[in-house]
Amino acid sequence: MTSSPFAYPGLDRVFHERARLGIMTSLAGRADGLSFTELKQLCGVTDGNLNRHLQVLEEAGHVALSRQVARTGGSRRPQTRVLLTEAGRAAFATYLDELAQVLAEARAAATRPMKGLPA
Amino acid sequence: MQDVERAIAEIAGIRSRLAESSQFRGYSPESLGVIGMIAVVLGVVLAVRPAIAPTLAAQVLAWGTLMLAASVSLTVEALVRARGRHGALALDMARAVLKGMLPFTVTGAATAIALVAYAPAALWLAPALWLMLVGLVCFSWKPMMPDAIVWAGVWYLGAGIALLVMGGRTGQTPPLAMAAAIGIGHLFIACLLHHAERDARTPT
Repeated sequence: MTSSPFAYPGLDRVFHERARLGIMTSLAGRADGLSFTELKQLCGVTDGNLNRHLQVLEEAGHVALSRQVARTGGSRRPQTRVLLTEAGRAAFATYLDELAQVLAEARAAATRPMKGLPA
Repeated sequence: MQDVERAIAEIAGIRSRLAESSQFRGYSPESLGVIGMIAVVLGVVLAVRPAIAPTLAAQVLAWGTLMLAASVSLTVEALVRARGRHGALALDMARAVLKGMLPFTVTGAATAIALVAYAPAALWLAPALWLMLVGLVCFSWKPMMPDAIVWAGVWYLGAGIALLVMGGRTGQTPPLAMAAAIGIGHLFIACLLHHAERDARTPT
């Protein structure tokens, strides 16, 4: 038994923010990543906000940005793609495990009868 | 309470999407390459010294032992290496990859046992079927391996069909054909894994 059972060190602050959690979740099932535009639409954030959060995730080594040329219709346009790195995948899995653990403990506590109250 | 249950279920869903879309790095290119080389050596030995395995059953046994040993060693390696490479996702990813491999391994073993027991004259079919099953394993690995794994699948499927055609004419399993099929196929997969590992180390 640890001395701080409710410290939850796996709840990384980098992920524990609504927009960044949305970005990581959107990218979770995409081996080939998502374009900046797709990500902006999925997470419901502005260009500036998405840039700021991607910078935080990139500096932590959780995502990688690559510049590509995409063909849309007959034209070729530069496009930024965002991908999860291997380290980012492993770190996010650890975060999800800890989050699931917190919820499981909350569920257990809620179903436990309280002292002094009728069951 | 329903909200908590739903949240736990959603987390499990995100986690499995994460595992399924990650490239599996549990197999080392070196192991695949060594298996390919052993197959080439075995094929050459069986072709040059037929007295070592004079009957069709002995030859099929030699190939079967190689393929079984390769499956077991790759499984052990996948479980050990995945821990170091994938952290919290290791078990989910190893399970997903092995789940793709297990039905084909069981089918290959069951087919060989059935042929030995009830149709020994058709035993030449077994190695060709094994190659085709290896091809199906490659296809099943597609979401978790480099995209070009599909070409390894095509190679093994084609090699299996070619071996069926050859076996249908002679009632034998040509050792050099089998060696070429496994040797080229496994060395190709080893190259794919090597390039994938190098790309993963190179920052984009």
